[in-house]
Amino acid sequence: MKLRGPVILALMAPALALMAVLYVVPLGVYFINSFHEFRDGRILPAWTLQTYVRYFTDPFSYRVIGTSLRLSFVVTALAVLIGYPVAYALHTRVHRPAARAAIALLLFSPLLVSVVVRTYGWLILLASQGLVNTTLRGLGLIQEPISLLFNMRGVVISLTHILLPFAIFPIYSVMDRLDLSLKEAARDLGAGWRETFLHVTLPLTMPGIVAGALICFTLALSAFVTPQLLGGGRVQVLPLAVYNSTVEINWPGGAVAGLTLLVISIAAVWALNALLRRLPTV
Amino acid sequence: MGLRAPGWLTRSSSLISLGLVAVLLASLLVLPAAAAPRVRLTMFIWAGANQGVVPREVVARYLRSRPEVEIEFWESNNAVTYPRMIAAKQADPNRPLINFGYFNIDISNRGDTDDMWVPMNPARIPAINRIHPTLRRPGNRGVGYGISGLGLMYNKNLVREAPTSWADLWDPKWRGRVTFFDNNFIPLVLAARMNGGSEANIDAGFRIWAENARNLRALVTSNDQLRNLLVTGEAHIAPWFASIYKFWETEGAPLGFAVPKEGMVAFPIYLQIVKGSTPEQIRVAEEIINELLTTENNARYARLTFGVPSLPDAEMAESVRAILSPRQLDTAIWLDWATMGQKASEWRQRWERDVKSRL
Amino acid sequence: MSEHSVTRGHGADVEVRAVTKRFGPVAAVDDVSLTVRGGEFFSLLGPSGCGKTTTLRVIGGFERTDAGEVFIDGRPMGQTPPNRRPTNIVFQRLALFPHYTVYDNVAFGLRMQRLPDAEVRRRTRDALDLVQLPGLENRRISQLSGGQQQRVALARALVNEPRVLLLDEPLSALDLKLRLQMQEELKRLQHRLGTTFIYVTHDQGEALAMSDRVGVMNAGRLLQVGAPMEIYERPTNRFVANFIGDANLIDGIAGGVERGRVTVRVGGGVVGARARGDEHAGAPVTVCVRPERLRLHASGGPPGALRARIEDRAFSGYVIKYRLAGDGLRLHAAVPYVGGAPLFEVGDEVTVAWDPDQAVSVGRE
Repeated sequence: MKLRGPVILALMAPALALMAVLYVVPLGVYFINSFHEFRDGRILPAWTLQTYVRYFTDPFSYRVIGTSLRLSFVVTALAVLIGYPVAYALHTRVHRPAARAAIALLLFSPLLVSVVVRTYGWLILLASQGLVNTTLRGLGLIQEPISLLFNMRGVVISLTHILLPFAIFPIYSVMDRLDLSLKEAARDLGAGWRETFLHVTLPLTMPGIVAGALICFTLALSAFVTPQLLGGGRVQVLPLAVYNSTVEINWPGGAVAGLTLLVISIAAVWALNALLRRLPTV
Repeated sequence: MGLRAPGWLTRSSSLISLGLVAVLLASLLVLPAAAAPRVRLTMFIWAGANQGVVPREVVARYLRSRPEVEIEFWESNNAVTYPRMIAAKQADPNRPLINFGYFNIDISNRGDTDDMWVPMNPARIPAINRIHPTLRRPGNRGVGYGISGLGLMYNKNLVREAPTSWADLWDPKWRGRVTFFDNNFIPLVLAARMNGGSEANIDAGFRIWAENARNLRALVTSNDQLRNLLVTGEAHIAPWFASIYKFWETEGAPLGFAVPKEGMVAFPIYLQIVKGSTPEQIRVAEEIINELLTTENNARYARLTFGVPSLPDAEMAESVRAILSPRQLDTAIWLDWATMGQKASEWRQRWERDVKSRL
Repeated sequence: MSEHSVTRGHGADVEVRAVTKRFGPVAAVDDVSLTVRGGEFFSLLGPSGCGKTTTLRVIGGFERTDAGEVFIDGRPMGQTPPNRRPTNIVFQRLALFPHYTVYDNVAFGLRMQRLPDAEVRRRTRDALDLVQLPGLENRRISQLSGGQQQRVALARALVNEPRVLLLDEPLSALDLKLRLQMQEELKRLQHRLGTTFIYVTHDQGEALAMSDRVGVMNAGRLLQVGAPMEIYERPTNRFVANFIGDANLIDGIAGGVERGRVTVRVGGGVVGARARGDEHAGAPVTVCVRPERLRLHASGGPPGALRARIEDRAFSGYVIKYRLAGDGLRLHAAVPYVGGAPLFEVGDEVTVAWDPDQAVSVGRE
C-alpha cells in the first residue's frame, strides 16, 4: 500500500510536534536571547550584538572551545580504535545469533545504567585507592597512584566507555553487509591476512568508521554529566559553560555558547557526511 | 511517495488529525474550568536530610481543615530551581512556578534584585516580630526560619590535626586535599576579607585562590559528591554546613567538624512568598507559614535538620548545641549577601578563568 | 607441452581424492574423487545445492575438508591458504573491489606479488586486452555493464597466470545473448592459454558446449564423469540421464543379458538396450532413450515394438516433437523435419521402436 501525503503527515504529527516543542521553540528562545545582554545580574531588554562580540573576543572562550574539541577528538579516536577490533572480532568470530545478541547486550549495558550511577562507578574504580590504581600498583607497574579522577583522563576514560557501543555498531553493521567473497577474492589474489585487511576490509568499512566517529564526536561534544561529575572543575567544556550561564540566569551568554556548540556540531556532521559521500558504498 | 499538499484537507486521514487537535484544544479548555473553585499552590522544600518532615506534617494537618486547597511539593535545591522560577516569571509574571517555600540567604538576596518576593505583613505573620532580629529581612521580604553555620568538615580517619582556620583552605599544606561546591563563593569572600579585601573589593580573594588553586582536589556539584570525596579520602577537608555534618555523622560517616578560630559563617534560611501568586494563594501561604512558625514546629524542624531555630524560645537539641551554640552564632561571620548576589555573575566568569583553569 | 610454455600449456593437473565436506550434519560434498588433467576444460554440473561450488571452493582453499585431500600437480594442498595456491577464482558474484578502478582491480594480484611497476603495468594492460577491455582502466566498477564487469573479473584472475582457473557460475548474471558470446570467448581463451579451467555451472547446455569433460553432481556426490557426448550417450544412472538433455525413462523388468545387451519387458512389448552390467533377469530396470532416437511407424514395426497414440504435436523448425501415450507409458519423440506434410496427426495409432544400441539401461535408483 502506498502511503498518501496526509497519512504520512498524520503519522509524523506526534514526532513533528515533539520536535517543535522540545527543539525548535527552545532554539528560537535561545536565538532571541543571544541578542540581549546580561549585566549586573539581569538581562537587559535592548537588542544588541554585544554578547557575541564579548564572547568571540574573549580568549577564554577559545580555551573552552579548544578543550571541548580536544576531548571530543580524543574520545572519538579511542572509541574507534578500541571499537574497530571489537566489531571485527564480533563479525569474524561470533556467528551464533544468541551469542551475538548476548555480546550486543553486554556492549550496550553501560547505556542501560543511568549516567549518574555509571559515573559513580567510575568514581570508585578510578579513585587513588580505587581498583585501577590498586591493581596497577599490585602489578608493580606504578609506584605512586596516578591521578585518574577529576581531570581530563577520567573524563576521557568514562566517556570512551559510554560511547564505545556507538562506535562498534555502525562499524559492525557495515562489516556485516560486506560481501565475504571480497575478502576471499583478495586472499585468492595473493593477499595475506594483513594485506586483505589493509586493502579491502579497512577501506570498505570506512563508512562505518566515519558514521561511528560522527556519533561519538557529537555525543562527546555535548557530554555534560561526565565532565561535570568526573572533571572536578578541571574539564571546562562548552556544555558546562552553557549550564553554568543558565544557572546564573545569564541566558544571553549561555545562548551564545550554546549556539557555538550547535554550530560546531553541525560543522562536524557536515564535514563527516561530506567524507562519507566520497567513500564507496559496499 | 512525496507529500502532496493540494487537496489533502478533503481526505479522511486529515479528519483524524483535525479530530485529535480538537480533542486537545477541548481538554485545554475544560480542565482548568473544572478545577476553578480550588486553590492550588506549589511549595518549595529542600530534598533530603529530613528537610521535608515538618513542612509535610504541617501541610497535611492544614489540608484536613481546608479541603478546597491543594498543595504540591516542589522538592529540589535552590540553585537549580531559582533559574526556572526566573524563566517562569519572564514567561508569565502571574503564574509563578513556586508560590512559597524555603529559600537560603543567597537566593533570598538574589530574589530581591529580581523582585521575586511578596513583602510580608507582620500583622498577618506575627512571628516576624518574635524571631531573632538578625533573621529579619529588609522590607520583610521573607521571614527567617532557621540558621546553620559553615565550618570545616574533615575526614577524621585521615586528618590527624583538625584544621583551625579558614586560611587552611588555601594554605599550601593542604595541597590537593580541599573540596567544595563549584561557584560557592564563601571561600573566595573569606580569602578576600582575611587579606585586606571585602565583598566589594574581591581582588585579593581571586589572587589567593588563583595562586592556590591546586589546593582543590575537585570542585563538586552535589552533596553526594562532596560526602563521597571526603569519605573515600580523595579530599580531606571541605567548608560546609554544621547541620549537614551532624546529619552525615549520625549516619556513621567518619567525619569531623572544626569551628575555625575566625568563627563560623552564618547561613540563614527564610520562608518566602513569591510575587504573582493570587490573593487566595498568598492567604494560604501565610496561614501555613504561621503554622510552621509555631515554637513547637520551629524547634522540631531545627532538631530534625540539626540547625538553630529562628524563634528564641524554641528548644535546641543538645547534640546541635555542642557544635552550633547560639553563642557561636553570635560570633559568626555575616557575609554581605546582597553584594555577593550582585557580583555572582561577574565572579563566576572570573572563577572560571582565574581559578578553575589553574586547578 | 613445454614448447608452448609462453602462451599455453602451463595448466596443472588437479586431483580431488575422497573429499568430504560437512556443514553441520549435512555433507555438502560426500566422498568425491575426480581428476582433472592439465589444460583441460572441466565442468562440474548439477542442480543448485548439489555441492559443486563447495567442491570448487575446496580446490581453491576456501573450505577446509572434513576428509580427503586435494592435489595440484601431485602436491598435496593440505591447509594451504588460497593466496599460496596456484589457483585463481572468478566468483559467481564477481567480488570486484568497489573502491578500486578497473586497473587497480586487475593489478591487485600483481601488486600483492610486489612486482616492479613496469611489469604490473604491462601485464595489466595485456590482461585487459585479452578480455577485450582496453581503454576502461580508470572506470569505477559501478560504471561498468554486467558484461564488462564479467571481463574485469576474468582479467583480474588471469593476470596472475594461474595454473588452474576456478570459475563459479561466472555467467549466470548475464542475459542469454551475452552469455553465449562469453561462453565462446571463455572457450577460446582457455584454448589459447592452456590453463586448466574448472567451471561450475547448473546449465547443462553451457557445460556440454564448452567442456572437454563434465562431472555431474547431485546431493553431494559425483555421479558420472565423462566427455559431453559420452555423458549424453551413456548416462550411467537415472539422474544423469534426466539432467542431461531430454530423455525418455522407461521402467521395465530385465529379461536376458547377452553380449552387452539387455532385453526389457515393458507393458505389452519387449525392448532392447545396452546393458550397464549389473542387470539380471527379473530385476526392475530403467531404459533411457533420447527422443530423437525413437522410430515411429504407422503400422507394423519390429516384433515387440510398443504401441502408442499421438497425443500432441509441436513444430519447432528442424524437428517436430510428438507427445505419445500407450502401454502405460508417456513418451517424447523428436522427428527431423525435412519438408512436406507431417507424417502423423494427433490421434494416430503408431508403433514405437528403437535400435537397442541407441538406448541404455540406467538401473532403477
